[in-house]
Amino acid sequence: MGNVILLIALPLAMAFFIPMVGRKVRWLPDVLANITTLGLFVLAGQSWGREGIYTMGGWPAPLGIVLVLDGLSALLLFIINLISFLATLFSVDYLEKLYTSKLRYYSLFLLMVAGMNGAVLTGDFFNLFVFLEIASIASYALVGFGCEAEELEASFKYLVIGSIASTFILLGVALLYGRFATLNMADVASALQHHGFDQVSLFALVLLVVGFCTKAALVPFHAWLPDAHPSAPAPISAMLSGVLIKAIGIYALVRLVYNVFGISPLLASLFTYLGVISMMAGVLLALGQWDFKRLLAYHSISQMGYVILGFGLATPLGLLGGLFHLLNHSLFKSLLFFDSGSVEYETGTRNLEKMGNLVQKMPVTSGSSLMASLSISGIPPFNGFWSKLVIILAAVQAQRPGLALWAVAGSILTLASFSKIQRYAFWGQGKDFDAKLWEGWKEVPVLMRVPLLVLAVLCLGSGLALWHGLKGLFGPAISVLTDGPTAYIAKVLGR
Amino acid sequence: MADFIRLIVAVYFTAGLICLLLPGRTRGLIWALALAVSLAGFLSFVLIFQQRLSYCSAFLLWDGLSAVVALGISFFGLVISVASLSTIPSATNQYYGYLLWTLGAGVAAVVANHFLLLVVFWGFLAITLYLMINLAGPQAAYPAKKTLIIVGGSDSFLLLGLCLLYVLTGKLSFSEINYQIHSWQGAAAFLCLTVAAFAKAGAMPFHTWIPEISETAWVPVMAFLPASLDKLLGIYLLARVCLHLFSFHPSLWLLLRLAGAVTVVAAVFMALVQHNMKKLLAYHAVSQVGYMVLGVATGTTVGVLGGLFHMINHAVYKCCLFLGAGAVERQTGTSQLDDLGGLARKMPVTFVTFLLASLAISGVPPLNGFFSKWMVYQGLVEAGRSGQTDWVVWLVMAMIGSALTLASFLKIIHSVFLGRTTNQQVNEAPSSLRLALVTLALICVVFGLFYLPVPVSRLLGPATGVPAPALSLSEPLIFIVWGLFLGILIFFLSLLSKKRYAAVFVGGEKLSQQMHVSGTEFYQGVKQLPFLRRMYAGAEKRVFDVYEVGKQIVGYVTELFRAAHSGVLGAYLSWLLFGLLVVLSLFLRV
Repeated sequence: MGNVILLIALPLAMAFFIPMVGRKVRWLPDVLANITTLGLFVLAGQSWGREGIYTMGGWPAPLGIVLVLDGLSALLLFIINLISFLATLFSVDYLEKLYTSKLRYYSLFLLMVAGMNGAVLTGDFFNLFVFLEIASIASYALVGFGCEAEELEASFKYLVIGSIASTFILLGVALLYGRFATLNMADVASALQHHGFDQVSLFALVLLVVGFCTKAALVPFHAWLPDAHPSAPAPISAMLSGVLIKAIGIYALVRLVYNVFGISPLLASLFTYLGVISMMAGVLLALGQWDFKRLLAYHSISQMGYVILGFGLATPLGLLGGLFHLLNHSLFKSLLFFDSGSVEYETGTRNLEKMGNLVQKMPVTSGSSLMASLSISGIPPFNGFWSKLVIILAAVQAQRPGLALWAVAGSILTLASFSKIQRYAFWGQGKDFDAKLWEGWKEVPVLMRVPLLVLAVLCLGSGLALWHGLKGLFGPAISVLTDGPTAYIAKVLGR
Repeated sequence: MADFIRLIVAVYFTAGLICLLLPGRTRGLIWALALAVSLAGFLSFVLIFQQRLSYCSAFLLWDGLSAVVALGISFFGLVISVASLSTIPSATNQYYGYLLWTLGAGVAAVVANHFLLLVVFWGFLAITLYLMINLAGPQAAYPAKKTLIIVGGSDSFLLLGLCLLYVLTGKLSFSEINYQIHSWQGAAAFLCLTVAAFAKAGAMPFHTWIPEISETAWVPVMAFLPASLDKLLGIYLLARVCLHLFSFHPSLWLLLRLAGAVTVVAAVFMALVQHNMKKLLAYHAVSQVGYMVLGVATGTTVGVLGGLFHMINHAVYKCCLFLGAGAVERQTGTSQLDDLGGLARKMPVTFVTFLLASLAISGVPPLNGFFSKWMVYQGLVEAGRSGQTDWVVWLVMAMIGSALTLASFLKIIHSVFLGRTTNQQVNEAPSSLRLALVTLALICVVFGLFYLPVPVSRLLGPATGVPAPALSLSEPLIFIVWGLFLGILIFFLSLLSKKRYAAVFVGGEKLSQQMHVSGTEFYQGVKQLPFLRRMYAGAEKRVFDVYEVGKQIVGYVTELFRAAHSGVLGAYLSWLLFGLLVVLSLFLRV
């Protein structure tokens, strides 16, 4: 259990160590950052399947801060550290060509990773707030990393809305502390079970839910995302869309609702409404986009809608669908952002109208983007199909065929908008396609190809392979959610 | 046997993968591999078919219906493998790789008993279809996109329908289900499955991808997928759904018949006015689906048998027609009817096979198309005997469709093969293509002349599980023979009268070799008829295209949403606040 703390401490330390030593030697920051994230991935892999409590400083649960490793946090840790390793790998050449100041970049990157790892591990409300602020503030800076006017504007909007969300969360935590005189999540949960819900705890719940929904970019709290995600460097976009909105948004929301307050019919139906609205609004907005990354960003909203819809169904099958889609989305959406980064790296543009015929010049990029597009559109045998299947089946099984129909409609529109990308960027030509520029384009360097290939194989393989071991893989995480607050209290507090 | 079928599917997929991995230069090697595999596949299905087995496990269902469709798929795979080498310009490795994958997935979808297997392979077919259309280069990107959205989108409905069915019945296998529709969920499940079948087969209103891809996609791709394979698959699913999966309410039969009859007539009207040979054929590929749907939707043995027979016949002659069109395009470099003419002497084999296939599709006895259409008609009449009165409408519509089909094929035959030549330097198609054409045309003749012993009893008998019913053919045949006789008599009588032959001229000037009168103009008149004028105008604006209409509506909604996203921070913050207030009011109400 001891090395769980390394998942937080190692990136935190390296975030400051890399700028200190990396100034002289050009290749050192790249190597150090990649070794760090690889190490984190290995650590996350080791913690897979394990459970336990780590007490910081040896103080037992309600008094000190605890880190809780269970099925749900292990799943999130695996996703976070896998994508962050691939993102650092992708960053090496990408940053070299398009940005400066790798030191600051890696520093912020690792801070963000530390914040996310901390947020999914912690069992303490205030600690959760601190970690999600670390991750959020690092991401504000990373969104504005290019320092162009547009990027700074996006970063500013993100900063304002993100801070308001953080304030809501802090206020919610403060209210809970004022009511129950404890910050430990399990302790709050047990106090709630003893005292029942009153207006203060409900108000705190609303503030926390709205705060986390804003971090997760669910409609109508989504407005920062379509600006912020495309403005960041591509590997950061992949991290933001693939991981961040899940770790400090969806995960925190689900943990709060399922393990502290307990899922109620009202919360469940709130989730399904948010899910359907986000699903449809996100995909409709994406359809009108011509900016490659902006289109992808809107799809993150839409896909989070699917995930939260699964959680809102609140049946084991629905939870399975939600978690499975969470994992799959992190794979194919980061892959798509990496692809957009590769395309931008070669063509220097994000505008689909200026691209064309990339399938002849960039086979790896276009092949992987086709696979990811088919995944996100839910075409078999790719992984997105399987998780959408589970969600649709769960909706029908829960006697909510209307929700299933929305999911199907969203899926078709997703397919429409991704075939738009495929058409303009890869197979056909945009309106402002320039054949002379096209002659000069070529496939991206090897280090950038590796994450593309790895994720493409995962998109294809995970769907098929996971189908067999689906219960085994997601079983621990699902039981964490279905067992509710009681089991969580028993695990953390031992009573 | 289950292992054997699994082996065939695995071999198809592996060989496809090998083709994709081989470099594009090794054309001969790839061709040989594809040919060997598709031949082996066909022969093994013939072997299995001969044994007349039926087999049913959790994953595999091999009965009369899946047997005949699987046999058909492997047969067309073989024919197209033979015919393609000389017609595809490049990317041999990709083409044959996707072709073999399509065969593997097609066979697997047809023999699947488990819902999940069907959905996976069905969806995979959408991918290979998309990739095969895209092989034609950048100009095919838009049609490919449209196809992927329509066909891939319908897969989601398939998924939803099967999920509904699973929840309603608790079963996951086709063989275990015979669901009596008595709730709206059951009807919804049925409609969802029908959407998938219609989109794949190209029945209205999900047909628009076929004409759209016809002009750009490679001709062998057209001959392979929309013309033959997708018809087999779509009608297979429709038959499976209608005959085995559900037993349902008459109103749903009515809906299906309506869709079938409208498809027949509307598509053939569109075909009449086309100038492009491939597009004309594509509209016929839509129109003919109507007969199959009508046949299945009669619910009578002879009608269903006719629908399935028509499915096979259509695949045969439409494949032949597309390959013939491909041969013409390959040798002349164009597929515009206005630029072609007089090829009958230059390309006799192509002409004769094309003519036979055209007569077959127009339902001229004694070719196969006549018999299957006749069975569909008789099925409609028999459905009428059980008290329904709607059959007259459908029968009349189907017959009108048949007459107009003949008219539009007269146009194509005249424009392409008869009349004055435009181009001197035209040779006959290459031998591999001729082989495929002759084979298919021969099948048209054999299936027509021996319709009862060969196709109906041997191939299709097991599919419906009852002995082939007697056809009341003697009276119509007498009429038809008399009609033909009269026609020939009039023709010869007209030869007796005195005639003067002169060179073609316009305004006193003799026509040069480049100028020629094309048959297409004769058919423009139909556009001027009062009711049809408005329909054609609408069709040109694409108001009957589900895809375009959907695009318009979605585009409108999208603009509304986009207008709301003004980029003003204050507005975004007010949304946040609004959301907070709504959630607050929900939770604090109690």
